[in-house]
Order: sequence, then structure tokens, then C-alpha cells
Amino acid sequence: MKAVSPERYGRIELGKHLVDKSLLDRDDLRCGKVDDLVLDLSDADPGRPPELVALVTGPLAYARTLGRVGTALARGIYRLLGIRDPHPVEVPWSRVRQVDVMVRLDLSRAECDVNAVSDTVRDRLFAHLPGA
Amino acid sequence: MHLTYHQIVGRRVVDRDNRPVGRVVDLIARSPDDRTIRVTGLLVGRRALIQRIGRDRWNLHPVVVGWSEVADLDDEHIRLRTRRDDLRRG
Repeated sequence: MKAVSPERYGRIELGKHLVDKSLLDRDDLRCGKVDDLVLDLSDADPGRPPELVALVTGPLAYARTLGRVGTALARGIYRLLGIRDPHPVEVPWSRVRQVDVMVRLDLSRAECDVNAVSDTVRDRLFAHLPGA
Repeated sequence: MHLTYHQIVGRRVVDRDNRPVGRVVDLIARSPDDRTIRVTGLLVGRRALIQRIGRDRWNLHPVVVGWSEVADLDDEHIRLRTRRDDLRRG
């Protein structure tokens, strides 16, 4: 069983039970949080319920929901931090191992490609601290 | 076609006569098997919002719109094929 358990939650409400939850990689290391969800609507059959196909995380994932101004502002902040090409990452739902209080992935942090912010902050700020 | 959660949440819902029902507060889903999650409905309106921010114990019975009742999605609205008075409360 990997998915959101109806036995655990009763009715699954995506915003309540998935969005904003922390992501853990296969080594139980934090690798971001769920900022958005990608839903697939069937063009051939519009009445078919949309299927959850991916989680969205990483730089600009949430900012994209704030419109052009929000996106531009966030992009500028990321560039000031030294991230040249900030972009959100889509994690396929098939790589989700389990959802409980956190979302556990069947991926390593490197495969997630979501460490741009933490790596940059580590390299540009913490690496220069004495004893770091 | 792909849509994101945040592209749906917050949209206005109108019934088949263009009467407002409310805004989408959350998406209801079910997992028919261990590998798939499908959106089966929308939680709509102020009662859903109050419940969403933590007043579950009040039994507010928010409006629940089944996905089968969705006729059309455009950039601003979600149009239903039913009338507002026929919607059930969850």
C-alpha cells in the first residue's frame, strides 16, 4: 500500500491530506514539500474523473500559483540567491511510496532535483561560517 | 490535458442557469486501487471553507459537487450540468 489510505483518512481531500506535506526521500531525508498537484483530464472522455499524475515541488512551484507578478518576484529572489534557472520539479505519482503525516518517495534527493535552494544557501552562506 | 490543483481551487462554480454556487475549496478524491487517485468531486462554498480551516465539529455539511456534474471548465468558472437547488451537502 503506497497511496493515501482511505482507511486512515476516510474521504481523501487533496488539499487537506496532500498539499503542503513534507516530502521524504527513500533515505528519510527531507526534500521539500508538496506545493501543487498535476491532474490529468482525459480529452477523449471529459466525464472521466481526473487522475492525479504528479506532485509539484521545488523553486517557483508555489509562486506559479500567484500569477505573473508573483512568479517574476520569486524568480528575482531566487536569482539574487544565486539560482540561475529556478524551476519546479514534477515527481510522478508512481514514485510516491506512502502518504501519512509526510509523503514518502521512492527517490533519492539527487533524483528529486529539488535541492537547488538548500544547496545554494549552504554553499553561499553556511560554507563561509567558521567551523562549517 | 493537464491541470494543477491550484488552477481548480478558488474557481467560481456556477450552475446550469449561471447562478453562483460558490468557490472551490478543495478536491475530493478516492483511490480505486493502491496506485491510482482520482478526483471524484469538489468541495464548494463558505461552509466548506469554514470546515477546511478547522471547524469539523460543527457539522456544517458543505456543498459537495460530484465530478460527473461538471459540464465545463473555463479560465474563470466551473459550470455544472445541474441546478443549484439539486446539489447535495456532504
